[in-house]
Amino acid sequence: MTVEDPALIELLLQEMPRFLKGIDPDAMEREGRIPPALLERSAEFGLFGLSIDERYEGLGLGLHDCCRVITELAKVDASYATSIGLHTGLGTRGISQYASETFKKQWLPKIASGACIGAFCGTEANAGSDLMRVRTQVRDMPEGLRLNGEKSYVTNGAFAGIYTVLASSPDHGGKRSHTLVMVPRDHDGISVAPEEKKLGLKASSTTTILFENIEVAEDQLLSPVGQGMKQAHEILTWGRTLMSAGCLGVAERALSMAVEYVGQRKQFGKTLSQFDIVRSQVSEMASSTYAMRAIIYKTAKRADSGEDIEAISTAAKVFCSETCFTVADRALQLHGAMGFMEETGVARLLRDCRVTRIFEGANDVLLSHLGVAVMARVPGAAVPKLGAEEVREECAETVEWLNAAIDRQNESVARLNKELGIRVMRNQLILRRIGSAQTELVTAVAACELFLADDAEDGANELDLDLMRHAVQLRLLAHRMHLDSLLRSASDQRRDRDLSERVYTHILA
Amino acid sequence: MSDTSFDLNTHIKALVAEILELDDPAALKDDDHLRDDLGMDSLGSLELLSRLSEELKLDLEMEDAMDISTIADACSFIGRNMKEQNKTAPAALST
Repeated sequence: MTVEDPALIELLLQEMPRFLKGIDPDAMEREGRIPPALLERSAEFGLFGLSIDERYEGLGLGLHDCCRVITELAKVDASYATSIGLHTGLGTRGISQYASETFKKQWLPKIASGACIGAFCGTEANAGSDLMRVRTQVRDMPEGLRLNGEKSYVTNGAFAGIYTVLASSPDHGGKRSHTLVMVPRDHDGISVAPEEKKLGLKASSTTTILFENIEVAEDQLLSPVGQGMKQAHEILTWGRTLMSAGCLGVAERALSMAVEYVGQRKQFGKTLSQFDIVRSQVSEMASSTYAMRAIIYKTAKRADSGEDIEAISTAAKVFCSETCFTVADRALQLHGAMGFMEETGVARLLRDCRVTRIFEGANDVLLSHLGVAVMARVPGAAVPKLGAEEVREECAETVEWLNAAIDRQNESVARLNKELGIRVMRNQLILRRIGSAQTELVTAVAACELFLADDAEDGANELDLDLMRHAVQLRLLAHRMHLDSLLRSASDQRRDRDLSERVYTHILA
Repeated sequence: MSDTSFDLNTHIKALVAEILELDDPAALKDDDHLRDDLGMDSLGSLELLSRLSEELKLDLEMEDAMDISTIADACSFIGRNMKEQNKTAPAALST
């Protein structure tokens, strides 16, 4: 549970435009790094201590407020937002939640001041979305615990002062038992490889880190040896949510650039904004962005109330990364050939957000996991119906649609459970469909709830009402498509799969 | 075809060891907690039961997998379902 001073975040956000003024994303991309002066200013502004408890000289913000900050940073530059977001979530969440008091006292003030930046070492050459397969090991040696292995694609890797490392611990329950350890950079045996060359996020640091016979003291453990997966999952839920917040910032930037451009650019004697097809696309971009904000809000608020967000943060990550890419792509399309040129900056947005569909769990894998959670009726994946009694009249129909969609999904899941039972675990295509349906449904419900919450607090305006209704409509259309696909007969589905298999076999031949 | 020499407990331990990549299935104890002691997450438990469902031709519901905590739980759950569904182990699984 997070208790914080609401004035603090408002003050921070109020000062943000002035702080962000003068940041030059083009120059950062060209140089391939965040300028040290900007990192120093960020530290002075408190950005490295967003989530760190005030007892350790941080700002003590909850996940929701951290997300609001990261969104603002991403509107200016996604590399910069990724770096601060990674530090706030994956890089330091483990230390602030699970480290010993001694370790916290020693490290968290340095982390909050920006003197020590955090990084998370999870991915390996042969363990991307399947983290259970990591081969970096913590082993019992006569002289104590020792860490050995190589981690890939470590964000902030080059300049981090402390690494949170996920390692297997085969001496404590086999190759699939895991331990989370913190390793300060100044330990002997750490090597940092040169920066990776990437499609986007070029100003952020991404490196391979090598750990050679690193001594691991008792107080560097973030979990009992062999039992670190639970903590790793919790840290990942924060990482995914903050990453989603970055996606929102990029999408909002793409939307505002598109709106500005279509209002100026003339073709066939009219501005682009006068064409129905353009107006419809911009509306969809705006409503989708509203939906992103809604699912992030719901996820982060749940986390701040101490609830498990494993399932909903997965849906948020998938929805926000996919939608962000679609919105950025539309913005580029609306700019025409100009969008393909670097000078507009839209091309960079598209490049920068592409990786969000891959890192922190590839979306296809996450959708299958979500499908499993829905089929197994994991409590966090349940979508309760909305109360229809106290909503304002204009929302009544939307609530009715949402509740009908929840019923439809529950019926489909019950039918699949009856027909396939646990054998559905062997059918990734079905699981991915269920995960996709769940993502759309949860986001649609979140959009409605966000409007109702805003309305109750401040009296939401007509624009919000229309954005919400449009967002819900779009999400429920997609939801219906996924459920309809599941309702097709088993023989039809088998036929489709066989055809797809035959095509694949031809290609291999 | 059935064979009375099929030992469900040994078979389940072998599958758990395979899924968790453990070297010695015999080292597993009946009261080992799948998640807390062995680090098997919910996906691993579902994988275990889906393998058993396929091998033993059992109809099992996803939700049931969530109630299984230990190796002994898995044995009694599968044993009960084999009995209720009148299924015996195929010869290929017997020792």
